[in-house]
Amino acid sequence: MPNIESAKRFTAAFFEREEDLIAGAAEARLAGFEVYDVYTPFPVHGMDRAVALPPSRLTWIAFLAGALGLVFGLTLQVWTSAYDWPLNVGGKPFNSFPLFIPVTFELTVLFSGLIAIGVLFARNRMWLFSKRKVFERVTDDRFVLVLRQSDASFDFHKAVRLFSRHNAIKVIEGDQFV
Amino acid sequence: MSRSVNKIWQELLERTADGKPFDLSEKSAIAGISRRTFLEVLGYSTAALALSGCRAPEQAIVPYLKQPVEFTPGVASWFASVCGGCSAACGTLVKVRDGRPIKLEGNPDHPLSSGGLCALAHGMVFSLYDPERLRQPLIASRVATWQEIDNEITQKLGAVKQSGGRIRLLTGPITGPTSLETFKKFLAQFADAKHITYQPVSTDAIRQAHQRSHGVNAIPSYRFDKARLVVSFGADFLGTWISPVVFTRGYAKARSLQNDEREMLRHVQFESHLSLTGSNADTRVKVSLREETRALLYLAMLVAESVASDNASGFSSPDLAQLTYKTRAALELVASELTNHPGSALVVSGSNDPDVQYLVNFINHAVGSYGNTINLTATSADNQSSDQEIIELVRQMNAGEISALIISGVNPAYDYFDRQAFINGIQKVPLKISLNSTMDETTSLADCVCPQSHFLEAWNDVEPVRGTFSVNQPTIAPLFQTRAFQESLLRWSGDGRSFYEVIRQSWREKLFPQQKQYATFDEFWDQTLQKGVTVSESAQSNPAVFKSDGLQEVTSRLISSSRETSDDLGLVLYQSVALRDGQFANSPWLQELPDPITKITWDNYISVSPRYAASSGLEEGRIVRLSKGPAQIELPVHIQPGQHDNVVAIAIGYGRTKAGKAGNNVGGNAYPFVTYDGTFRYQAFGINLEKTANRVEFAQSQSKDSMEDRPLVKELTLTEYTTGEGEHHSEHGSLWSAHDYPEHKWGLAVDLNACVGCSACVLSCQAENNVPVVGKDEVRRRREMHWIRIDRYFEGDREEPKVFYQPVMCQQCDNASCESVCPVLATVHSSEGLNMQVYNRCVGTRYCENNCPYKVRRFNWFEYSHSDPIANLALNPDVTVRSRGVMEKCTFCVQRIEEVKIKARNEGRAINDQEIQPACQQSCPANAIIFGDLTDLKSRVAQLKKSGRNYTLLDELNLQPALSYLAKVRNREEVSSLA
Amino acid sequence: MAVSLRQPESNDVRLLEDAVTFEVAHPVHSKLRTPLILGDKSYADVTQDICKLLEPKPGRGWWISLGVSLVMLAIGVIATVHTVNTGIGTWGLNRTVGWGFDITNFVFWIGIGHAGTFISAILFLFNQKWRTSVNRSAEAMTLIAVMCAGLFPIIHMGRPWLFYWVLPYPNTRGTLWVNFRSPLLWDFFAISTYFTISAVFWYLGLVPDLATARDRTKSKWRQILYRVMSLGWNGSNRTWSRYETVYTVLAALATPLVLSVHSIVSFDFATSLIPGWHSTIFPPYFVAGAVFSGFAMVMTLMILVRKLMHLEDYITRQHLENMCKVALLTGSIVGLAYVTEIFIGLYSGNPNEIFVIINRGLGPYAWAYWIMFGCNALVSQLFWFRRLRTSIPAIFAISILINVGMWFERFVIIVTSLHRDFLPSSWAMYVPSITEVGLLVGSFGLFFTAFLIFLRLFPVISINEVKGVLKYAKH
Repeated sequence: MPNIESAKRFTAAFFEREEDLIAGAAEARLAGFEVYDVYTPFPVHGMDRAVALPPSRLTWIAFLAGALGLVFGLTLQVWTSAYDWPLNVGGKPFNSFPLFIPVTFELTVLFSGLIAIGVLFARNRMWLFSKRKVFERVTDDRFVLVLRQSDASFDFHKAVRLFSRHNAIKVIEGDQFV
Repeated sequence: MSRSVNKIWQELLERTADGKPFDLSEKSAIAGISRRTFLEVLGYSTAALALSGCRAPEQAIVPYLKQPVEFTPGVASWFASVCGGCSAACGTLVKVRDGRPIKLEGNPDHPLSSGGLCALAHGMVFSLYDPERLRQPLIASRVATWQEIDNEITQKLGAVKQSGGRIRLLTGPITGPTSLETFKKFLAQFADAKHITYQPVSTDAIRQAHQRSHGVNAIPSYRFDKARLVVSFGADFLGTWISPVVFTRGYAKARSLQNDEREMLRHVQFESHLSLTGSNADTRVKVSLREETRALLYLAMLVAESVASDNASGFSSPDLAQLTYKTRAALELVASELTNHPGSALVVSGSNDPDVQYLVNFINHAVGSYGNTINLTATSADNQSSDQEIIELVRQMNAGEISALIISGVNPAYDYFDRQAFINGIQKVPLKISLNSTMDETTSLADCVCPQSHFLEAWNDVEPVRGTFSVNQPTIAPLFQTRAFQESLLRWSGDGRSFYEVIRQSWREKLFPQQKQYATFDEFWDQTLQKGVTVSESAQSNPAVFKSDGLQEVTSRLISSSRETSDDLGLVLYQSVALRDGQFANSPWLQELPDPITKITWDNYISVSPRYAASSGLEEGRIVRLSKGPAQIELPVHIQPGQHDNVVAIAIGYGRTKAGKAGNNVGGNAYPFVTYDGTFRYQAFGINLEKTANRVEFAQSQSKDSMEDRPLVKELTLTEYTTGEGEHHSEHGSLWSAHDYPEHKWGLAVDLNACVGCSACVLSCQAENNVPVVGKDEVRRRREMHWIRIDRYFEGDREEPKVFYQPVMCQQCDNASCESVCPVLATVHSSEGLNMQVYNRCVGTRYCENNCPYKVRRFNWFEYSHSDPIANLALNPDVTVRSRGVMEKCTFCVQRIEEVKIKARNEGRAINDQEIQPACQQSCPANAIIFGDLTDLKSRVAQLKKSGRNYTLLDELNLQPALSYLAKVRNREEVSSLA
Repeated sequence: MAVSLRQPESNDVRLLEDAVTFEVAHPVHSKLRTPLILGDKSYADVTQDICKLLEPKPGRGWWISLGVSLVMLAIGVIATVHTVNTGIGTWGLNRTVGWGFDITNFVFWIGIGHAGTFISAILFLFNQKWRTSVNRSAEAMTLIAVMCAGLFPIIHMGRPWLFYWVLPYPNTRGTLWVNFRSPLLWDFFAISTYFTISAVFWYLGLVPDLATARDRTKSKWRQILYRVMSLGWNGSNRTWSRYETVYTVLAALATPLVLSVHSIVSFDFATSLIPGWHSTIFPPYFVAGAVFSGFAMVMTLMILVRKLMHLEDYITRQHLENMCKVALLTGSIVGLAYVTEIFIGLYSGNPNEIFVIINRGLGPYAWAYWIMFGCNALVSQLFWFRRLRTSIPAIFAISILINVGMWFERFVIIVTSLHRDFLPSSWAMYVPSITEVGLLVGSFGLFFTAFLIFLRLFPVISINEVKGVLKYAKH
């Protein structure tokens, strides 16, 4: 198309069944289109593979957070009860390590969980007053595949044909999502 | 608070600038008792309190052990004095903090009580601050000044003088020589005047019997400490009889095994209801009331025969068929033991029948007790007049022959056996003057009331035992407009001197010459005040001889009187350890002290034997109506193991109606069942007993009687002890090294062999540590707050149980289970081995209480009232008053430990053994509690813990308590060790 | 939506003959398996069915139940105020029995709070698809139950206004820390962690559904509420994939957490020395009991919910039957624990232990013990019968009996152990006061009030997860 100012234009295709979405997404990718993102009402299994999305690193963050919690918990207890202000409690040693395990465990879990969630929200830029646009019915029963028109070589009609083959019910074009 | 008080105080000082005591009643006298003046009075009386907190008594008083006379704020001074609780007049040290007496403790230097005190004595501090005390004189229940009332009375007495009418002075037992002088002086003014002493619980028979047997009209002093064998017929000498503290001291001394003695006093008790004394006996024989007499007769006969005394002929044997086999066997054993203990045996009887006492004297004479275990020269000096005299007085009053009656310190309108007769009588008396300190049953009948000061506010001297003199020092200026009763009498006999001067003068004239130690009188006087006692070396009168004439008629009288009649249920009246005769029934401390035997508080009750209860379908708490002629009483039933089936027992001293808020209508008044037959008798027959529909739940601090076969109180026989059987030592391993206690390691040993369960420690602790009183309902809910309790267990046959006492307070465990569970570190271990409770950190989870196997922790369920400004004066400033929602418990009196530590540090010396004594130890009459430093291996407590009798409670839990117990030893064979 | 649209030309959507068909990994679905969700729903139906519950004005049934719950709650509030004003003396406790209803209720509610996370986390890890219909409300129940539980340790304090002293914060009292050796402190950490993690977990699952609700609701305030709470969720696949990762992580964390919480609660007793408390089997015994009581409560609630809100298609007999099986298993474990306790006690040769066992079975509180034994160990065995497992009324009745039994279990453990311990001199009875009963009623009031509000405010069933398993009902 001539007068198309590309770069920040997008093409969105609407599907009714996740099978079509997956197929469409995969084919579009192989056909050289740049799949910008996919929007679904629920996590569609196989989607990540179809759009070749690398696995998330959040697992590691959660692990490290847990480690942090563990160290913090243990240090807090040993320091307060054995070094900062040692008290003879029930004739037990100042550093009653075995008795510190429960709290250490709880703090491990707490840190890991909270930090993981926090990072998730940050990474997804989810926050209370977020004003992000949402495709119509995508939170209900629509599956949307969005391509970015990275350069002038983008052939809209090709895309439309491809999508139609996968029972897209509607294809739209536009700019400035997200 | 302080500012406003200071204001009033200054005002008062201005007004008292002329040196005369500030007289608050001027105003009220003008306006009568209007609401306004009432408020003023109220205001001033509180002001007077604030004032009294800041001023010492007018006369020079001398503190114990060369301390400076002036009060150092925050530092306690100790004054030697005597207890006015009963006529035994034990030596006390009064702890005075910031001008307020806050505690009585035993005076170790006192030759008789030597440091012991009873529960009642500890209650005395409360009676000083009793809000119910009268605060100014009253004429016909109208507030008056002393001026007015003195004029009124002198004028009326003048009239009596003119008419030569009869005047009577009715007091309790008075032993003070100076007081007696004062009485004489006062009574001398009148034509027909007489001083009558009246004791609701009389021991007159002993006096009469000795009059008959030895020609000595007095109660001898019994030396339990010198005895090796004591045989008691229903005498509760450890609990309430004559001078329990002195007797307990001697008894414990003679039974002590604390210095590895190999033998100890043996104690046999014949009694009908389970008394404190009986519960401690090595052999206790349960007999009915009449059987008791027969047993005594039989014993007398056996003794007479075996010592082949010429009196043996005098005996006609009692009907042996009426003695149970068991009793006979016991008596024959006892008889042989008695004859094997010449000069070291002692027989006593609680009966108030002169015949019985005469027989007792005979036995004592036959086994050579006189001069050894019984001292007829140092006789008890109280109760000069016989029971017969008050009977006569009441008759005369009713006949209208008495024109003036002055009453001091007695309350016949409550405790006279024929109350109504007395009340009717006194109304016929034109001039009735009461010197009592509260508006009690009798005082409310008087037309002139001259409230006397509390013994802690007044000078006095006493001579409880001939030759032993003590001065009672005031430790605070009178809180209210009161006056020592002797002073009132002085006024009315036209003598302007203060009683203080009178005492000094009589001492200068009488006692000072008798001694050679001190050159000047002042020196002598000061020394006496400091030590609290002086013993005059009066010439030993030659020992009286036993007059055996009349033995014949006595025995025959007894034999006929003691013959069993059909269905004869006997009633025995006894004094409870806490309330005694009921004079101080308004003390909540005494009311809430669990009875050592029944553990019931705030009530009296009818004790019956388990078998009797079963046969007549009575259950615990069932209210029954007991009646005999006009006398009638409704009380709940208490089923008492160890009581004879033919006997019901009731404690006197309850059922006051005008004692005050705490004492009114607690229990029922059993005095009406007292009978008179030459002397007052505290037994009755031919009573009838009917069930009612009602039932009550007792406020009991312990409801489980049995030890459940758990080795809690360990017991040995004397042989087991001497041969070292039944000893055991426990070893506990540990996963980690224990904490070390560099400076001190406080420990405590409780000698269960010495402890008789008298419960004095409970009240001593309550007074020292500001332990709140919670009241009947809360005790019922099991929320009593005592930091130390006496566990009492019955073991074996419920009909003849073995009784055990075990004082339990915080055991200060090294591995304290309470500490490790507290989430906020509110209870931790000190570097001196104390288990500390941090009140202001406690959030009150009660987890520590749950996890304490000894259950010695006490929780503040409510904000316990400390609202009464007067009662609050009794609080010990060294101990925090705990607020609602925090846990509290025994601290080994940490405040005392710190006090001594500071003292020692200031003087740059080490702490001496026994220098620190917790409240419970200090006044224990039996020396059963020993506190000390375990790091000091020579300390008494460290030594005792080496004993073979030493064991820790619940040892298997390995809590490593700092408190341990020394096993009980019974001086009889069949006992088998529980260890 | 601010997307500039351009209608596709007619010829754009043409000639579909040479369609290249891809092999797409379809979710496996067997024909043998009975459908999880009945009534052959489409995605739209699911959204519709669940969201419509939020929209109309609440019905009579809801208002009545709310009214009743509020009355109960009010009773609880009065009891609490009375206690805090006057003191713990208003309860029936004494110097021997320091804990009664207070801690009994605490442990009871904590126990209830175990089913939710068990369902959402453990069943998630075991990939039990049937959880999807119940986990949302089960988790909500968990949160509410933990709130109820958390109140009691605070109220039961002598000075509740100082409860924050259990926090290890640097303070002005000369670095006064807390006692990390105390099981009560462990409780504090365990429960607050448990609550936080469960709340986060629950909320995370809720976000996509909130977005769904946001995009449908007409009501103004709901729109604001959902918009704020859904954090601008837009169903992006990137988000989804991270979301699932974290969800799994949380599930993996929550699983040991569930086990730890009740183990630690059991330490309150197990680490003390009171006979009847001092016992090593407590942790597993308590956890099993907790899951047991939790599932009982879930069943009670679910049966009511599916009736009240016509969700028979979503919460099917099969769901209930599965839960019955879990209850049967845990109930049997509990029963085994009872018997073990008796055996060990009598076998121990320790007179105190032996006494406790006998005193429980024959002592003054024997009635409580046998209620506990019957309702838990015996009644749960009825679930062996398929007929009872599948009959709604039977399940309902049994689940309630189990709840009663489990409350008494805690009562028995606490009171019968305390009231007669080492020294017979201190033995005493505990009789709860009306105030304590009020607190118990109040906690139920709080529980139901909160749950009813939850029903009206949030999607009762996890819409996105149900859609995920909807395929199991297709074909």
